Amino acid sequence: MTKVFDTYPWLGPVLFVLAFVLAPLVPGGYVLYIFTLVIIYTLASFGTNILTGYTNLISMAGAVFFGIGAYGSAILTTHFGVPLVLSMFIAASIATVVGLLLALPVLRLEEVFLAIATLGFVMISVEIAKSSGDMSGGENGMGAPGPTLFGWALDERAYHVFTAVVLAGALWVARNLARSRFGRGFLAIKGSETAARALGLNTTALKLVAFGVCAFYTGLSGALYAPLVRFIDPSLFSIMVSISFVSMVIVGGLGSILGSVLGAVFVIGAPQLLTYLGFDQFQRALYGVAMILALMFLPDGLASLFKRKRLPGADAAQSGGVR
Amino acid sequence: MLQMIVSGVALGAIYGLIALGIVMVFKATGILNFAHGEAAMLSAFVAYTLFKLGLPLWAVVPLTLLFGAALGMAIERFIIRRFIGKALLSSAICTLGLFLVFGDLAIWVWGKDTQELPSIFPAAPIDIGGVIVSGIDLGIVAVCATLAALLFAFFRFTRLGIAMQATMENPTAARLMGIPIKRIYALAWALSHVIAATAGLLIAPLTFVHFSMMQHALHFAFAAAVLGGIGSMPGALLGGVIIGVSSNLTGAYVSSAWKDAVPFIVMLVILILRPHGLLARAQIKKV
Repeated sequence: MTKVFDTYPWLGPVLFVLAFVLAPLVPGGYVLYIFTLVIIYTLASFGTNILTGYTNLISMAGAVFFGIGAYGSAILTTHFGVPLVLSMFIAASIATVVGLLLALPVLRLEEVFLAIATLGFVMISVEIAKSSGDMSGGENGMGAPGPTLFGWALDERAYHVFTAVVLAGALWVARNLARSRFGRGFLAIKGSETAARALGLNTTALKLVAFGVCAFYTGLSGALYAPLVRFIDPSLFSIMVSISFVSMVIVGGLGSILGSVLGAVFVIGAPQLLTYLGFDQFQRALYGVAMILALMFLPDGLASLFKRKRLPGADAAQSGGVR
Repeated sequence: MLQMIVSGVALGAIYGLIALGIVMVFKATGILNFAHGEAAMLSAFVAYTLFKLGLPLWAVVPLTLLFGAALGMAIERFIIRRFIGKALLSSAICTLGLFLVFGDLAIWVWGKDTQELPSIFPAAPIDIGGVIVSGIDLGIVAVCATLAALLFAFFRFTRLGIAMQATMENPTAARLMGIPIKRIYALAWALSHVIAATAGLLIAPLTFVHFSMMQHALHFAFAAAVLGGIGSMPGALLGGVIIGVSSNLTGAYVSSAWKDAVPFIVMLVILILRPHGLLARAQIKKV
């Protein structure tokens, strides 16, 4: 099995893209819905990977940005009549600003401290969402309008393509970012923050940028999520959402594009597949077992199943060279 | 006001106990155990079953603690041992997997119904110098204080405790000194799960026995562990008390909606002022 992928390293990714291209052809909306969901979560997974896989900052605040993205886009389209695409961009930008503001006080915390401090943000934001005013519906949540593009309503298939295009654009930007001096800076911090600072890098600024990029991607992911499910409530700001983002990156593979995608497929797909196969009752347990087994036998993530495909910047850092 | 503080201390002491277990395991094996609360939940369910079988409470308690020890050792032996020394995040996600498994296990065995487990302490209120304290709260604080004293004595005066401390400080050196560190790892997990079982027994009369009874406490326990500085066991207890009291006071005087959020705001403020927690020494990093 793996031999085939060794001989043809492009086979894996091509099969992958093909699955997503062919997904709209499957009759019945459910399969398509899952595929669209995977695409949306991949965005968040990629944002988390930039923060955790590249810069080695552990953040549990993903749900905050995801929620802001979803609520922001829904509120802007419902109450202010902002076109959907613009609302997504604004919502993701708001998430970025919030991300930067939240990052400022906690940047000097390390590892576990940063993880739990950012977890605190989630606990606080969920209460804000619950007690917020009429616009967001408080604890009851609010409806989000379905997807539209320049005034035309998009059906499920069109929206699937739309999210795929957004993802492709986002990946392209991220790839270039990884190759820029920011990407190299992130990796330097991952290697050793003290050493990076000694080399004259402004590590505080770099960490802020990493946080901002993560917040933007995760916020965008939330903004894409709202029109898909058409109903959002404060449970978006739950720790389980944050945890699912982090597990996507860990299960998929740190610092790898393919890993981000595979992680999203696993985290979204595995529970759905288990439900589909009739393991409704033990869905969570089996998913947990699958997660433990994956980590036991593939400590470098699902991406290591295929030929090791690290992000372009990662190779440069490993060989010590900079292009 | 004083009453709220006392019941906050009692609640916080339980959070502190769970945090203590998390810190012990983290110090000994470098693993962030998200399944710790669920272990306490399973222990509470075991206690409930034993109680339903007609065993008296004085027999239920030691059997439950024994179950806790066995559970901790089993987790360490079969799953965690592979993750010791690996990256923090992958082991953390692994324990999250365990968290999911335990949750479903409890639903499968005991169902989704809420069960009752009586407290070993009398519920009758006791008047101490004008402050009315419930016997349960007083009992919780007493148990936590005793346990803390026992642990202190264990780490300070017994060979095993000192060996465990040595392993926490420097596993390689400890092994070279002839300390069987694998057994120390197992012991740390067993001990931390005995503490978790104790916490489960103590919290059960307050929250009732339910598959999601510990999820709330787990968030608070993590906040407590970090607040105290994740490397400090007394810090975990102190952190727990701070979290419990601030939560209770918020619920009483500000709004009950904010009692879950305010402890985290307190935690954030303390972390901003002291990035390594209250009682842990700041570590100097080598490059």
